[in-house]
Amino acid sequence: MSEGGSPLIRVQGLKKYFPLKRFFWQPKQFLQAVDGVSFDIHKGEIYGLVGESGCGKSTLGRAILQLNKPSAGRVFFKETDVTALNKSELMPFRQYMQIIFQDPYSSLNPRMTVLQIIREPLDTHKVGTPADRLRKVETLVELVGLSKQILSRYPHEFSGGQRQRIGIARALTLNPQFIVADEPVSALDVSVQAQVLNLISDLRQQFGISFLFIAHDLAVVQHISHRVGVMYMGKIVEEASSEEIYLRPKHPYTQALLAAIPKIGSGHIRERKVLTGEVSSPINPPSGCNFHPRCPHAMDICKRQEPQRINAGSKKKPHFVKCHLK
Amino acid sequence: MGKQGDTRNTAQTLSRTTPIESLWSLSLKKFCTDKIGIASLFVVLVYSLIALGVSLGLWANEWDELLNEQGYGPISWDYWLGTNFNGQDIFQRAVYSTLTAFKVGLVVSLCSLWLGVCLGSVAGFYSNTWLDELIIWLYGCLDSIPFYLFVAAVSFALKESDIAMYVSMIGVLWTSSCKVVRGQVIKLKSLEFVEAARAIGVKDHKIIVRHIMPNLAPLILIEFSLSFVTAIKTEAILSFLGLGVRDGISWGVMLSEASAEVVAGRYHNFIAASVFMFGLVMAFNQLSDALQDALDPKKVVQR
Amino acid sequence: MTEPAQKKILEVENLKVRFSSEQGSVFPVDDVSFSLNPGEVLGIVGESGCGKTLTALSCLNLLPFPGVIETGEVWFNGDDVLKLNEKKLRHLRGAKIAMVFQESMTALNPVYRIGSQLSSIISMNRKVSKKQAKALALDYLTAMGIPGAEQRLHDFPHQLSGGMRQRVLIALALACEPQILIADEPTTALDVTTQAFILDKIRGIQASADMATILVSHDLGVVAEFCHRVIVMYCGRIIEKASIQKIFTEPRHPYTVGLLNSIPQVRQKVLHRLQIIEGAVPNLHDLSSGCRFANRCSQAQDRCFREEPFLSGSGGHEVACFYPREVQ
Repeated sequence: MSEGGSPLIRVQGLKKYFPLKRFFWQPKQFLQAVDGVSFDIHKGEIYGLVGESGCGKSTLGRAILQLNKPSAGRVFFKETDVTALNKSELMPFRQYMQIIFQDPYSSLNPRMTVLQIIREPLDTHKVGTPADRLRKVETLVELVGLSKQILSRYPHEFSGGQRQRIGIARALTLNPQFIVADEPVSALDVSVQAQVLNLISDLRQQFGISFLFIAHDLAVVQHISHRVGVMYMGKIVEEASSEEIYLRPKHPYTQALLAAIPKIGSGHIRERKVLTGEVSSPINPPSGCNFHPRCPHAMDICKRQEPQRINAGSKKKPHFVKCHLK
Repeated sequence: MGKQGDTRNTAQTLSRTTPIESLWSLSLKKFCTDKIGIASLFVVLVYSLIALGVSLGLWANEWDELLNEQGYGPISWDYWLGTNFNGQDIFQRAVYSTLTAFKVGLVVSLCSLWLGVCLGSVAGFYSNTWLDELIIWLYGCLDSIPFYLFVAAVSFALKESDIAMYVSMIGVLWTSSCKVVRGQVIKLKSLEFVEAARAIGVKDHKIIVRHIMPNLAPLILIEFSLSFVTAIKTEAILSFLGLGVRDGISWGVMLSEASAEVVAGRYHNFIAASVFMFGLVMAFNQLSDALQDALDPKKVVQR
Repeated sequence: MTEPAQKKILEVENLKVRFSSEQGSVFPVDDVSFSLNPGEVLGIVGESGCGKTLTALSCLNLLPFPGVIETGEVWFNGDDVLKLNEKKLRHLRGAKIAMVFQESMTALNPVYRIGSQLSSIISMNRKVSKKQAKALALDYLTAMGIPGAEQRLHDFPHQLSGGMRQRVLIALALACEPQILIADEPTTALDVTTQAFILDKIRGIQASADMATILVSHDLGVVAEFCHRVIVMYCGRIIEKASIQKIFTEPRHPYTVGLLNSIPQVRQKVLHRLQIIEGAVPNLHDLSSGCRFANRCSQAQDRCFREEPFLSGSGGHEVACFYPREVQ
């Protein structure tokens, strides 16, 4: 992990608004799924993105890959602004940036064999001869921990964990430098989840692939990532190294997320402070700080003014937070 | 890394001897265990052989001849189901009508399906655009016209030829398959494997051919069997009303003739046409039920 | 909690569930026995397909097709639940033993308002007037921490969020004042903060009403915070049974140990790698004669592949393993 140097992925003020259906006399309304997000991912780094359902984390991942066009903001891959590219200019960048999905059942085409699924990226980008492609696919399936004999089989014959490995193999075919992992383990059983987490960790170490690891489970994210961004209603409210997030969570929302994680090992039923209320509607977000209706420390200023993103850590160890409390 | 463990497990659950099964072969296997499905397929095949024989001139060639000079005739060795008031052989007419039914069924269901699938997949793939809106508006309009009024208008416009029936039936029947296909395409389009293909950079037309069409095929097969039945039944009603087959014979025409005869207490024509039609429609309905069961991936694959 | 003299409220003995299909019969629940003390919270944990949900459903004789109870007894209040007729079962379900499922969208009827669904079910099960039922419904909704409960009574199910619907369902189950609450993954589909909130509320009501509870979950963390005693299941068998402290501080079965190690935890030192259990849960169709966990077990010996171990142990800590981890 090289902290210095320019980042591999740079996201600047990314916004994604979805227009809502309306009658023609109603004013235009938007669902602000991602609302001005900026962060960097370095080479060989796993950046964890955590947030509850509907906070816009999956939309953000897809917007970075240009699977849906962002409404505003820019995404740089190394020095290139990929948001400014058209479809054919984007083609070479598809090789460098890939995605792993949450649902291992719908992420593989049920009517294609495993070989066809994993080979599709090679066919699309016309890499090597057919024999080369087969060899590449064979090494990949073994890399993700499956045997070569499965290549002629269809997805429905595999368990969730095995399917997820096939999906990972497909993402790896073009030797990507950056992978968006969108909740890759939340549909899996505990023991299989651990296997897949280790696999991702190994891939990073072996090939220096950077990951944007999206999950709703802070424990999983904190475990696998180097840096963690906490997302609430389309905004990143806190960002720091995994260690910092655990030791010194600054934002009340992060604190609540940490408190909500059940602790194993104490063996005692313990009391804790829990968050009340529900996530506000992203169509009419609350004024000022989005979190103020649920925040236990809400002050007057929180209702009026949106907090700025400030660095509460040091220059060397940045700890960004968006909160009036600091 | 779990390599060893998983390979071991893969080898265990999928030994090299277990046959490779695609969803299609699983569906076939499931269909073969369905007794009613097999029986109805057999009945449909028998009907199509009859129709084939008629079109090759092997039997029922004298359906139009005035064989019995006395008009009405009872069941006899010469006339298996008797003769009608013109003295025509009812059995031959009923058999010949099988060809008409297949002609109407195939032409109407294939054409309306082709139209429905094309427009439906375009509307689905480009959902929420003006193209989609246009297609929705089109079938909305067609659906809101009363069917028999539409047929009458078309046949008036086309100078009362047989083509009017085909045109009007195709013009109305495509909407149902279009709606179904559009919905399915929208569902398929949002599935993650299609998104994965887009992330790889696969072009739109290849996504349609490689990822959407194969998953649409079972649905199209089921839609075909359904629209075939609808076409045959609609033809019977149209012919009964005098809006359908004009210079030929069909079960609908026979029923229309029978409406006068039944009053006179002669049921041969009525029963012959009804039984022939009932057999085919019933078999096709059962077949499409069996297909729906066999082609549903959720029922075929045990997770 | 575990004095032997205490009367058990629910006793399940040698429960065996059979599923028949074209490939033959399987036993997703195989020889399961456990008991529930009054006021106790029992956790049933395991990965998908281990038979935990079917075990819970069997307590109400509610097996889905094509499941049948092959053998076994479920004793509740001196009756064998599995031998009761439909009429008596109806009295039992809801009023005496209530159940909460994971899927909250389908459990409420979408065309009726929350309030009328709640009060009709309460008045059916508790023999109170419509007016009292309505008041009770309001009480329990408030107890479950639903803001503006009075207005919520007039809402339709689709107007509520998933977390809210789940709270309504739990309120519904609790409002009938059952003796036993069976909660099958009640918070799995929900966000972490909502999950914590709901579990806290259930625990509050459970403790104050002294209601025995069975919590079925795949999440050891949830079980750790909620239960007094835990049953760990694997492939239809109970493989370990112990108090919550014992399970987490001195687990004995290699599967329990592996499962605990597989869970990522928030900690200061980021490890990036977990200790894992190799392989995957075997298919119930090709179980061998030995221990069901043997082919994934790092401690497996020859004997494990030949014979199947049965639950044994003392002091309320039972384990089904020939070579369990020694307790220091």
